[in-house]
Amino acid sequence: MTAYPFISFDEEEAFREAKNFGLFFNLSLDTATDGDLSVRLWTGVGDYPVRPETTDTPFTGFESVDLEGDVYKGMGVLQEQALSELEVLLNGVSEQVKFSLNSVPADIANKIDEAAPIVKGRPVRLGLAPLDDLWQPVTPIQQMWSGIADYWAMQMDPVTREDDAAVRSIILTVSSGFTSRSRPRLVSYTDAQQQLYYPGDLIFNRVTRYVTSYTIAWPSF
Amino acid sequence: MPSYPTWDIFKLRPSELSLGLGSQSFSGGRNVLGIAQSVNYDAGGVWKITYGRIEIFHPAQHRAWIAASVRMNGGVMPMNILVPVGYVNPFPTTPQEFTEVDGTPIIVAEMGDGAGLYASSIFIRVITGATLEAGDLFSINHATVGWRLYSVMNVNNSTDSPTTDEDAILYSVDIRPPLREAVSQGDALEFDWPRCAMKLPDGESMVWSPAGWWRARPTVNFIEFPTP
Repeated sequence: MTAYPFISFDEEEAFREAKNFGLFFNLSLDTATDGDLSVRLWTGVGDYPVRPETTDTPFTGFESVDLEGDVYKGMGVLQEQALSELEVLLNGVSEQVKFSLNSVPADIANKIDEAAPIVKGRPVRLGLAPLDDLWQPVTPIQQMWSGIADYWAMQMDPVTREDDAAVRSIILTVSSGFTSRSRPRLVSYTDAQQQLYYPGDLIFNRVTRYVTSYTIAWPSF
Repeated sequence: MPSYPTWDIFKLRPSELSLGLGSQSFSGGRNVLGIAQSVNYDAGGVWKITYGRIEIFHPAQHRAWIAASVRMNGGVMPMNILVPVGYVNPFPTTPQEFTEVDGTPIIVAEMGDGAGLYASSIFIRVITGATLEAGDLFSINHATVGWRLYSVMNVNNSTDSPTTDEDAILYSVDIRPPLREAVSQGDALEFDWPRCAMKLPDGESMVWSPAGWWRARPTVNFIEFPTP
């Protein structure tokens, strides 16, 4: 997995000239050989196919990630809220990002509840592809950001007014870079933990005597 | 292919029609010359239709409205919404009876070649009909996503189609939006009554609100049903 792949001069030109873009989200749930388990979404309205390279059209997926025949499902028109999140993300400020997919149908939500896919540690990619005047891709999807999926959650806000609609959302938390360094340390320097790891070692067996609010008097000889 | 019910346009006839492709573009702000630059992320857009001031007075029309209202169920279930195109589409110049919904087609057209998902340049073979022009609307009944609406954005060229009927003309056209599903050669194209699987937008519902003397003039908005 490359963090920031090299973009060639031609692709840079294509990005500069394009007025239409597709924004692509890829969560690889398994290895490239089982690519059909991945979650593929994009900002267009309909579906977007991954096609092989021909003489006059490029390969249309993430290179070395997507396989021919994969389909990016259309999320519909991108919401403003989602964009502000991505803006922060692309500038590299945010190291932990929550993606949310709104209005998930009830049957899909139930299926996810029955057999939830394990997402922890799976790569998440975000890419752009410039589209020509007829919305056909000019280059393969260029990866703009990548992260590691952490956990996902289901959310449904309570409905407070009778004419409001209940909206189910799936939220996926993705981390990148040094996010994991801010996690709590796993060592507590207690006798119980030391006995668990190294039975018989007595280095921490007096720790309980030195708790806070215990005044240690200097010895008087 | 999904068989959604079709809007009964002969009972629920709109006085005003509004049809458009909703698009989402992001502006990069204006420069000193006042020129705004924007990019587009929607890949063709989503169809939006408004039926304005539907005249309802007959009991059968009231029943049709209530039936459609409970069917749509506040943006959950789709219906095939018709686009009246008798004024604009390439109908034959010889006098014809006004076409019935689901009747014998007047404009007979089919796919001139297969086209993949998300294709935006296709071939159309018009067997019966006048000259195809940019701005014509048509729809395709896809295998899994149902009826979808397309517009001819640009006619690139036309040739006499030598393989089939003598009158048939093969057009190379650009369409918008790109195809929602792959189609194969010979698939029928609906030019008489283009229709699209649509639902009510979020938060809207069709209420039945007759005024005095059982008159009602509701306005209803539709948005294209998402692909499953």
